[in-house]
Amino acid sequence: MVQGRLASLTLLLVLTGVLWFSAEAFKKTGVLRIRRIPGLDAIDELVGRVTEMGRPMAFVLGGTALEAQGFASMRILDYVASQSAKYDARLFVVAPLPEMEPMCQEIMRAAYLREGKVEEYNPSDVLYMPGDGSKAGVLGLYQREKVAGAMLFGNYYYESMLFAEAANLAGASQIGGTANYHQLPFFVASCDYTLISEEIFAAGTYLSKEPTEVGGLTAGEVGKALAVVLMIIGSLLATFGNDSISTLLTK
Amino acid sequence: MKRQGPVLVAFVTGVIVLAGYFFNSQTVVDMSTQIVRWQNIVAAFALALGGVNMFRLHGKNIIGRKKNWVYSCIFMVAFVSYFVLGVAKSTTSAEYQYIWQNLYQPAASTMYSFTLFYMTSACWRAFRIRNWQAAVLMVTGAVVLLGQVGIGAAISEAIPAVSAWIIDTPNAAAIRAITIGGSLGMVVMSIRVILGLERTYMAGRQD
Repeated sequence: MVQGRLASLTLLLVLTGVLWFSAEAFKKTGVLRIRRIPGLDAIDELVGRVTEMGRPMAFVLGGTALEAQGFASMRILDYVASQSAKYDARLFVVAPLPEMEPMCQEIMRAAYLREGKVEEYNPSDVLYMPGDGSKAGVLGLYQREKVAGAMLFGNYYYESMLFAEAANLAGASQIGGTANYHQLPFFVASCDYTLISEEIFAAGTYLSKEPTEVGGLTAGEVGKALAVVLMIIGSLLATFGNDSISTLLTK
Repeated sequence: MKRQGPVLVAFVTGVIVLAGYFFNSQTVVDMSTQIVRWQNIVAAFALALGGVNMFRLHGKNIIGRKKNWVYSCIFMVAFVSYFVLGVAKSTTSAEYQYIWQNLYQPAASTMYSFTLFYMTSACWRAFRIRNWQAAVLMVTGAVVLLGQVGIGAAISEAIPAVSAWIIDTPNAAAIRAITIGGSLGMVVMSIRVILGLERTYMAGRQD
């Protein structure tokens, strides 16, 4: 065992266990209490808005590497693509990574297939825009296509400000979401709704209410509760000169 | 098998890489290092796939004389010529670097500089006092901004001190809360991907 990683391994195993058991429990009871997330409720509003206006919307994924935020964002894309297909709203998807592009294509195609409109799916609406080229590309897309709605989700860096503000200037309603705390102020300033940090991971559960999604959300909440309890106990003990919690976490 | 194959690969590689992080066993660490190397190779193939897709998309635009097809022609010429130059003379050659430094970099820097103007217009809207929350945001933002520049200290010695307190105390607390929540979300999402419970990326909904 590598020194200092016992606590991480224990947490990982606990979270996996909680995920599994709460998914099983949800299968039996079907009971889920989850607070309202206005940013996710607004997705349907946004799709309705672009449909009424007869203008397209853009779903722009952020990312320099495919990681957890990318997967969570694609989960949201799955829902947005279904809604777009259902209401015949045109949806442009911007994938910043080459490996994301075929995934987005598959998600879009499957969404149109589910709605029985696969012949209406246009693969050219999924755009691969890598690196710095994506910045000019997305700004151009907003202006050329006159998008009425934009959704920005994923691992964003400085481009959050560019994309969000440019969509705002193009007159688009926006929903943004990232777990990168340094970009959240930009989304808050420019977007109509912002999903803050773990809310993008909760989106799958909120939108689908499938058992394993519920398990994942419960595991995250248990992890947070555990962190708060450890912080409170650790702070109290440290105040009295006892560092047993910090020693335990570094084992 | 189309679905099970990728799930199995994700599970096996994920477990090995995790084991390599937690355990000292040389065999496991070697396997984990090797898988991380493979990831770079797979990513390089994905990059080639991305290039091919762009080629196909712009090719269709040109053949079909679709809207803005002229831009697709410019893309094709730039793509092919720069690719050929890179392969023929290497990416470290003076010609290749000249184009990179004098064409691409200024364009990229220009895009980056747009951020300043967009930030100003976003601040203008965010700082408008429409309710008490916006007022708190405006006052806090003004104090922090003034605390970062010399004029703040010239107005009052208290401004840099208050600015530092805002950054070090409530701001740091909020950042850490967001980071903990986000990190746990990432851990759980990664567990779901490794266990094959998250399949959206393969256009497969969960069971």
